Amino acid sequence: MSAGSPRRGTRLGPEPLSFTFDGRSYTAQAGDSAASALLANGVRLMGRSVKYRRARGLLSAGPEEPNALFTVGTAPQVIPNVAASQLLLREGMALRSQNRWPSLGFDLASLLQAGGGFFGAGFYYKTFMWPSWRTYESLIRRLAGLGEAPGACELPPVAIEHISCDVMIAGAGPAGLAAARAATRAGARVVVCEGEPVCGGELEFEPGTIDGHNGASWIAITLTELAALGARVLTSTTVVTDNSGEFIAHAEPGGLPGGNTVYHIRPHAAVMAPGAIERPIVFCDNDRPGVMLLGAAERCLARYGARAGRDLVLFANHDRVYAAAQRLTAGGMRVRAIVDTRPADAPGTDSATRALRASLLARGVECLAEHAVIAAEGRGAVRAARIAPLAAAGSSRRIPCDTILVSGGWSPAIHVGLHDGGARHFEPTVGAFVAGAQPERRDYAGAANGRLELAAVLEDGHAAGARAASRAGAKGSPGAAPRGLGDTAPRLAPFARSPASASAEKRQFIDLQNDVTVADLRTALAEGFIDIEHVKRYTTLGIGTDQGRTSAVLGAAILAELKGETLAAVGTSRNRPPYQPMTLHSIAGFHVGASVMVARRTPLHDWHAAHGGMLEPMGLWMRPRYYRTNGANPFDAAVVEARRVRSHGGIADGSTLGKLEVAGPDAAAFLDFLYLSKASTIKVGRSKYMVNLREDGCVLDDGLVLRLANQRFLATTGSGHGTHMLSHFEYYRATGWAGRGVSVTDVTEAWAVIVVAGPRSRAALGQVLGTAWQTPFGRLAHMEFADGQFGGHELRVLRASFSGELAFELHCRPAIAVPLWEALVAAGLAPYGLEALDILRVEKGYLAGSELNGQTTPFDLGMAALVKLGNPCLGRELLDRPAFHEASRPRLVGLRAADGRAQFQGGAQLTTDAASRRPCGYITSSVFSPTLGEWLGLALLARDHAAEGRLLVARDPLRGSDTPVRVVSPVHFDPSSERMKA
Amino acid sequence: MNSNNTCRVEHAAPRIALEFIAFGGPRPEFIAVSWPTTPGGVRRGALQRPELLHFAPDRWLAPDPAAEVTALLRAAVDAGAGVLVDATGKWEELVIAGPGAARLLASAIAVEAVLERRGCAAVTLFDCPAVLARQNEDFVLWVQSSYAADFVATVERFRKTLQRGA
Repeated sequence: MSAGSPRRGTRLGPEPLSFTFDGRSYTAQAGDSAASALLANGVRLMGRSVKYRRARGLLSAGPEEPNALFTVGTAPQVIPNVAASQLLLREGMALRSQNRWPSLGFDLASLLQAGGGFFGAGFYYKTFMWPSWRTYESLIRRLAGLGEAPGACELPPVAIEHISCDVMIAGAGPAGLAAARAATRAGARVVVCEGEPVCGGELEFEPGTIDGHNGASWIAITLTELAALGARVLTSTTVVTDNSGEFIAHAEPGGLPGGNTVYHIRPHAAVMAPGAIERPIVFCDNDRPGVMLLGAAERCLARYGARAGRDLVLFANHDRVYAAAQRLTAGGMRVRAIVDTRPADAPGTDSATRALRASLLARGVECLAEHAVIAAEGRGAVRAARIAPLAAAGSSRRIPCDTILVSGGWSPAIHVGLHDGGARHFEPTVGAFVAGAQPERRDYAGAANGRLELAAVLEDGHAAGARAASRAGAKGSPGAAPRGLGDTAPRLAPFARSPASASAEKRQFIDLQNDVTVADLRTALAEGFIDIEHVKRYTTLGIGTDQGRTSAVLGAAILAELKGETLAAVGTSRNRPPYQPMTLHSIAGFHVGASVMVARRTPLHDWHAAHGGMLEPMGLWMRPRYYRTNGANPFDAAVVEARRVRSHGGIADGSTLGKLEVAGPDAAAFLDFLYLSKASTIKVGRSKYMVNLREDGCVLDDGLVLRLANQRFLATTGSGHGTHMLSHFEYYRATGWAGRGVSVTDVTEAWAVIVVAGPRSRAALGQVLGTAWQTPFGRLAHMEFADGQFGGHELRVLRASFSGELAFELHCRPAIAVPLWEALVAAGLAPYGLEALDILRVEKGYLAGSELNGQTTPFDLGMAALVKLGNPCLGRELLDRPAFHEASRPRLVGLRAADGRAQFQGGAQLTTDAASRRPCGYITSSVFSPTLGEWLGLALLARDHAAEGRLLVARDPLRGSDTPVRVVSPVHFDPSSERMKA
Repeated sequence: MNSNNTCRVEHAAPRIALEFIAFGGPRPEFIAVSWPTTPGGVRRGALQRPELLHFAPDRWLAPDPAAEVTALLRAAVDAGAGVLVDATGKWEELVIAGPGAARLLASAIAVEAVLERRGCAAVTLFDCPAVLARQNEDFVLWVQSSYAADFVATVERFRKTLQRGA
């Protein structure tokens, strides 16, 4: 490969493309990742750390990358924290480094590290306390965080797909593909999720044969077979969590948010074959650009033909380093030395490894056993590795190089299992935690089980696939397991960090993303944070976009060393979903924009919107708060609307009222059980105001119950309570009333409701309904209803009032709601919204959600008379609890300003005087009454303070007001209800 | 444009919708003969149109019922087996048709699994309560009418996303 000629790699095409990094133009090839392209262009400095702003280069070739995180795009269309290793370059892409100012090469904040004065663990908690945190807050907030959240980034919608299958396989490396092959051969419907854009995992660059084929051939043959057998393979798709058997997988093609898909996969059985993540080894200044994971360098070479460096020192604790050195040498890099922490030719060393080492030695590669890299030298990038024998201190020497490739073993990626019921256990042979017992539906396979040799990985995957297929009910034969040849056990000897002095420990970095050092762990321990979870939170070990995938086990191992315990005893911190970062956009799914919350609309919705109705969500319902035609703001409009109802009349959309049809021979008895007063005494054609209690005696809801026929009732509920009340009714119908002759049907949407209120309502209805008004509607008494017709459609008219005015509810089918409404408008009745409705009901002392708040009893709300009727309903027994009768219990009262003018607000606390800090109640509702010309309120007030005429103070510290108020009757207007009964 | 994901959404409101709710206990024999008696069962009329859907235990939906179906339901009421409720206006009907119909619905539920052993199912689609059934190669669903506008808007958004090839 000569300079200037196209690079060759398994993922590269020859087509050139250009991109910019921090404004400078570079060239790349189709298929390049941002990381490989920059490496190929000789760029080593790719980011700065979040705390110390230390210069950082590429560490890994996977989503675990802690350093090389870029902001992609141009403002405002920018995506921060995109891992360079995952980002597929496209023509013209603009990349920007993060956490630096003014430039990546020279960052002012990096001066914070000058003189070695690092901010240790807990620094923020111990400092910045004088004179106050606020003094420093803005500066710290500016410096903190990874990248910048985009201000106005518009992403295309996320696709969602729910998939049901027999077997889901997470990971399409050798174990996953073997599992998929076995399961599909057995006859299972299989879905495979692979986080990389291509399948194969390590087979992409590690040599070996499977069933006589090389890795690439076997992958192709297997994928062809899977496709022929109907298996579905989803690439660039990572399983991010298991939610009680529903696996969430996230597809982000190209490593960039945009055309994402979130899969909800419900398999009968799952095989998790996620592989393992390579661990670094910690030494002084191990964060310099040029220190990289050995496997990452191999991937960059095999996939993209990108060299990690020219002169390499390899530092490892296992046999695999020798084969890797040979491949890197073949790729055109010069391996200066292999630094192995283990003794040379220890028992168990196989002949292949011996031969490899001899070959490397013959080619001038220095192979140092029982040695360690103790420091990386060079300021902005690696210039040399300082090595020392592990046995004798002080005899270090320097090996010039530009790259140190490190491998401390592999940590199985078992996070998803740990999210949901899975266990892990420490496996000494791999020096890490492997998958332990799992729920029956889920198995792990391959490296996650500590299998690191190809033959064992394939066997384990095949067995797991066969088991999963069998669990899913597939009866076919999975065939024979694929036979792998090629590698041997790595004979890993756990080694987490090189020896270092106390001062050097400040530059031994464990968590590169958060600048957590060995010294930080020591500090945490010294300050009493001994549990791994506490250490994590105190030091920030393992947080951030990489979620400790390269640092968690390493940190735990070093903590174990510092504590003098085993790694098994220390454990690692808990993993939480998602396994891989997802944008909030993806997590939100379809709950974005206009669909952020589902909205229910009445049949009159479009009319309201077209005629100035200011529609706002009230619960799930969209309801007109006021009409712009009556005022520019809710206050002004509501005053106009409420005054007009009292003086003339108006119409309101009451379609949102919950409506439950309760029918059957036992319907009356059922309602008697659910309501405080009896429904069985209601006559056909009449209605009754009724109150439900919760099991504990508190009021659940109120509404009217209409007796439609002898065995048929219509129960209305509060608008926001309809769904809950349906559930409440259904619960008792299906349990205590199971087998009885009663049914409950939600007919809320089957009937639109138009409220006609005011002194002109009768005349307007007569005009609109014509002869139908004369018979049967015109002679309705208060709380009576009748069924008739309007325009050939069913119409039910109920005379009832929530405003204190002469009022009627027109219940009609949705198809005629608009014509009927428009006829009423034509008859001179203008619509009023919720704000006006609130004024009217507070004037009359009627209850709404702020009074029926789930904490009040019928006694609190002035309904003792209903209790005295003696109906033994649900919740009645607990009404006799002494606590419900204490003097401190609230009582519903009315309030007015002491001076008759001042305003007071709902939510204000009531105290006995201005000096008192102990509230005796609070204001539940307050409105300005245009009819009475002053502010009115309803309040829940301790009974021993509730005497009418009592003066209190309405204290509203949030709005900065103290208003003297007077306790009055809650019925502010027309106490004898003459208008309503007119 | 991904032609495998193309589909169309047709929207209508049934003129009449009846719901039959059975009481517990033994039922008249004719119900077992002419009705779907297992939840998820569907009685189909001309062109495979669902005409009586047993969408939940003890509950049947009859959208735009033929006279014969209405007569069956009334006979069951007369036999004291349950009650018939006129739910006209409660449901809006949508047909999702085309090669991408299943994929579109899979944006909300695992539709193939849900209807694998059932003719119909009461489901929550994009947070909206609905009854879902197959009709030949298409899907027909009844969405509670207050949710219908939001439901259609969300479905349209997903339809466009899928047709773009996401």
